[in-house]
Order: sequence, then C-alpha cells, then structure tokens
Amino acid sequence: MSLEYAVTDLRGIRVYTVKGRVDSATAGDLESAMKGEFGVTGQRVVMDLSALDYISSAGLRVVLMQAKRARQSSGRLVLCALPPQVREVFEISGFLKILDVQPNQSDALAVLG
Amino acid sequence: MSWLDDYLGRSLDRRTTRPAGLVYALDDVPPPLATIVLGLQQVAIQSVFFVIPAVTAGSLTPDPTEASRFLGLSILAAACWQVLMLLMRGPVGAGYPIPATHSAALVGAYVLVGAGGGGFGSAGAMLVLTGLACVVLTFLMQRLRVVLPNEVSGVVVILIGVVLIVMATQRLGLQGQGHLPPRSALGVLGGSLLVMVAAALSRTRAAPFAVLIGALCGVVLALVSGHGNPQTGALIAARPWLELPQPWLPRFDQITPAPLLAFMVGLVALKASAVGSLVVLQRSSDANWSRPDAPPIRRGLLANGLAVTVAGLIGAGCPGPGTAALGLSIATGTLARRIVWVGTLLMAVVALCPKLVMLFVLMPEPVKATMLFYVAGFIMAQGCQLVTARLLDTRRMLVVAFGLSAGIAAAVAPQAFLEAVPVLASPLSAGAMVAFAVHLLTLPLVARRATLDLPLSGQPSKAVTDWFGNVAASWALKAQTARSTAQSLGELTELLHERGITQVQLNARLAEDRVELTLGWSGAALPEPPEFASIEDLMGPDEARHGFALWLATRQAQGFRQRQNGTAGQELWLAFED
Repeated sequence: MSLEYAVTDLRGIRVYTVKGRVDSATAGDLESAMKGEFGVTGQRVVMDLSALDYISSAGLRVVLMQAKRARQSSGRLVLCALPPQVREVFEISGFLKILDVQPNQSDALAVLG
Repeated sequence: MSWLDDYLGRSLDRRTTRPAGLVYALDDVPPPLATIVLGLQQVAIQSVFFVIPAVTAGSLTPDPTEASRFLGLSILAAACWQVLMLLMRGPVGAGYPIPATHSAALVGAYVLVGAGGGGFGSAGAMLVLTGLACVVLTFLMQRLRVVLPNEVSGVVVILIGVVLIVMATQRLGLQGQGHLPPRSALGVLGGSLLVMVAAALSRTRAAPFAVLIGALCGVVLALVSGHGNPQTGALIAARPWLELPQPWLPRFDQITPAPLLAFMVGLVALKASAVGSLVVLQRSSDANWSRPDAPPIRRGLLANGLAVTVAGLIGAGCPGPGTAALGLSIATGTLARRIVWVGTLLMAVVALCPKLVMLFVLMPEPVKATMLFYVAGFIMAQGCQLVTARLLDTRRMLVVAFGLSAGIAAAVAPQAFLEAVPVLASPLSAGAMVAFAVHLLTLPLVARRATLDLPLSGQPSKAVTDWFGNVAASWALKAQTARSTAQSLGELTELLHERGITQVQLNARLAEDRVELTLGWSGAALPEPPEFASIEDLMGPDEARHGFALWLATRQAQGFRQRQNGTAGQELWLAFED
C-alpha cells in the first residue's frame, strides 16, 4: 500500500490518520497535505500512525518540519498509536526524545484537550 | 582505555522510561519496613536453592560439618554475585537488582570431582578457571551464538535437569542396588510434591513460596515417619551461632580432565541463564524497551564471571542469577535496588550463622529429593523454551535429538561411559559435546541465499522491503531482525535512488546467527556513515540528509563496510544479528 491519509476535525483538533508508507516517493504528498497546518497561533494537530507500515528518513523529515512549525506558532503536535516497526525507527533516530507520543488517539486528544 | 569504554562504558547505556505498573523502579527508595519485608521474601525464595550446594557437598564429603561450611561459603558467594551485579560505577556490574542463587549448571561437574576422589579445593580450582573463561567470553559475545546457538544451550539446560533427577533418585536410594525405597519415603515425596503443586496453583500469596511450603510439610512428614537424621539435635547444638566460614584454597595441582570438561560445558548454561536474566530485568524496567541494550548486559556478564571466579577462590559453590526470585520481583513490580541490597545483607547474616546453615544440610533425604525433582522440572521446561526459541528445522532437530539421546544414555548407563570415555561420563558432558559436534559439523549446511536485481525507480524502498519480507518469512527470521534489516534496505535504496543510481544488485545470506546483505551498483560510492547524526541534519543540505539516512540505515547493523568492486562498481556489506 502506498500513502493514504484522512483528515478530520475533532473538538477543534485536526487529526491526520496516516496509512501505508511515508518514503522518499510519498513524503512530498504528506508534506503538501500538512502545509497549511500551524498557519495560525495555537493550532493543535494529532498524527494517528496506527496504520503506518513504513517510514524512512524522508518521512521523518516531514514530521520534524511539522514539529518545528508547531513550536514556532505556539501550537502542539502529538503523535499516537505508533506500530512497533515505526516506533523503533522513531526511537533509534532520537525522535521519541523531542516529540509528544501517546499510546492511542483518545490519549492524544486528551493531552490536547 | 577507550576500547573498554566503547564496550562497557555506562555513558553508552540507553535511557530508560519507567513502566506504568511498577511499584518500585530501580532507583526508588521504598519505606524501610517494605524494604525489609521484600528483602526477606527474596531470601526465602532463594533459600529453596540452598538444596543445590547442600546436595553438591554430599558428592564431595560425607561430613555434615564440611557440607555446612561449603553451604555457608556458597551463600556468601551468592551475596557477592548480587553486590557485583548491583555496582553502578566502573566497568563491572549492570546496576541491576537481580537476586542470586546457586547454579545447578555445575552439579554434574562436582559429582565427577567427587567420583574421582577430588575435594573442595580441586573443585574450587576448576571453578576459578570456569569463572575466568566466563570473563573472557564476555568479550567474545558477539559471535558466540555461532558456535553456541539456542538449541545447543537448550540441550545443556535440559540435561542439567536430568542430572538433578539422577541426584534425586540417589537421595531416594534408587541408584546402584535398584531396590524400592521405603514406602514412607515415597509418601514424603508424594505428599510434599502435592503441597508444592497445590500452593503453586493456588493463585494466593503463598504461590511464590510453593517449594518452601512443600519442603516444610515434607520435613514434618519425614520426621514423623522416621527419616530425619537421629543426630540432628547434637549436630546443630555443636555449631556456633556466629562464625566466618573457613575458605578452601583452590588446588590447581588437582585439576583433572573429565570434571574440568564438565565445568566448561556447564559454562554454556551459566552464560545462557545470566544473559536471560539480564535481558528480562532490562525489559521489565523500561517501558520503551525494544531490543537488548548491550553495554549493561556485558557489564553484568563480567560481574557474573568475576563472581564465579571469587566463588572458586574461596572454595564455594557456583553462584548464578536466581530466576525464581527475579520472577517474583517482576511479578510484584518491586525492582528497587535497595531491596536486593537488604537481601544481600540478610544472606550474609545467614551465611555467618552455622546453626542456620546446618538446618539446610540436615534436611531429610526424601525432602531433598522432592525439591530436586521439582526444580529439575522447571529447569527442563526452561531448556525446552530455549530449544524452541527459533523454528526447529531438520538440522536443528538433529542437534537436539543427538544431544539429548547421548546425555540421557550417559545418565542411564554411566558405567559404560566411565569405562569407554570417562571424560564424557556425565550426562551434561556427553550430551553437550554431541550436540556441539553435530552443530559444528552441519553448520555449513545452513547458509541460505537470495538475490534480487532491482531497478531503482518509482518507489524502490517498497519493492525492496516487500522482497525482503518474503525472504525473512521463508528463512523464519526473528521479527526484530526482519524489521531492522528491511528498514535498512529501504533507507539505502532510497538513498541510492536519490543519488542517481538506477540499478542495484542485492544479495542476502543467512548464516547461523545473522543476516548478511551485499548491495552492488555502478556509480559513485556512498559517503561513510557518520558516527553520530543529529535530527537537525534532516533539515540541512543534501549531504547532511544523506549522512543521516546512512547513519539510520547502519544504526542497528552488527557490521558495515564499503569497497570498490571492479572499475566503476561499488559494493556495500551489512550484517544484522538474528
């Protein structure tokens, strides 16, 4: 499966449900999709990665860009439901130290609520 | 020394996250009363295994006073093992609170020492050599699994159980003459086993103490039915309340080949149980644990080897991790180091009280037999788990089958082995040597290969990870190996694609304990992976991003090298532990 994503609004929080793969071929699509986020101050975004099969450094770059934008605009980005193979990449790359990661979507929403 | 820092340095330890359900984490300081109660509980569980040095001593001497001295020294050696493991500074000690006990791995070796007329000094000398071998092996761990895979270690552990069963039958007088033991002895055995099983399955607070409770009931039954030592009162009265047990100096001049081989074979099980306990504790104390963190495990193995050496130097029995007490700590979520420090103190007190130690030595023989049967069952179950940790193909099945057959043959017909091959007269030596030999002889047959010519276009990482997913499934790789190898391949093919390479030849090879990958392409070489990379590199220029990708691709690899192949070709080699 290539990249698929869905965007929903839950109580004023934007939730991106990302499925499939975020690699060098698809990272640009996700980057474009999220380009408008954090345009206003204090925006809250959840990335639900429960159906993500694979992420490479190209995908990590997109996540890092969003985290930086969130910080610059006093917004918040929370990642949730990382499958083991994805969590491992986040862990060994050092991303877990700088990102807010929650076990599931309801916890992520609660953190931002 | 920098190589020592690179291998054992504490600065390399992964940062851990406290698991949610833990009552006391490693650094917590529980209230004093809770610490003492939990420490006592641990020592109570550990005391079940006092039967091992008590029985071992019986193979070396008929004198209960000498046996009590050996048990006292062995308890001190176990306390020393705990201290070395708890150390938080320097190259020794994982800093993990793992309760120690007396390892059953070398019981067969001690029996051989006794059968050959050797004493505690002779056994101590061989234990010193075993401990030093453990220390040396700590530095060779990376490729140790090639020669000692799980199935060989599992055979060794199962045969330790067999050795204990042989000893249990000796306690009951079933060996040699071949006549039935008195019915009352069988009654003690059956009664106390029933109590142990009932307590273990009770799902109450008594469950962790099942062996202890069963043994106490067994002692009462044995005394009532006349199986106690008639001189128990006098022997205990003759012992002082407080005395430092006198060590036996190692007698290196009394080392003989057969027991030494048995000691070295037992080392396999010592290593396996130490690694297992260290990993189990590491997993339980870190919510984000995903794979073993090597530096603390290496320091723990070094502590294990040094403690075994110290035990040999004072003529004590071999210490090792107490898996039952560790299991209790994990089950109750009480992992604070302070609890094991208190337990260490309590063990030292027991070791210095000869009256208490004598109680364990004089335990009635049917009760000792019951405890050995019970413990043997658990040890053999652990061995079965080790054997089946990986999918058993025909070759591995043969290793297990021949190893177990040889070991059990030596157990049921020891005389034939003593006359024909005395060096293999122990079930452990015979079984382990045969399993080891079959493994080494058939090792060249396990190498498997898969190749792929991959055009780099579209979504190259998807094509390569899909391909490797199928390879990993057909080779029955561990999930962790399959994931890290696929991730690395995906990262590398994306990188090559981005650097303008259009075609790559992939070659995967499965050796016994690892997967080796070779990537070949025409064009420029990749840069050397940086030693460290920062997340910020991802936002930098291409070279910085490529450096990060290479660092990520090689992060979990056991080995990496790149070389020029022919005039314009490049070759990159990576290995991942399975």
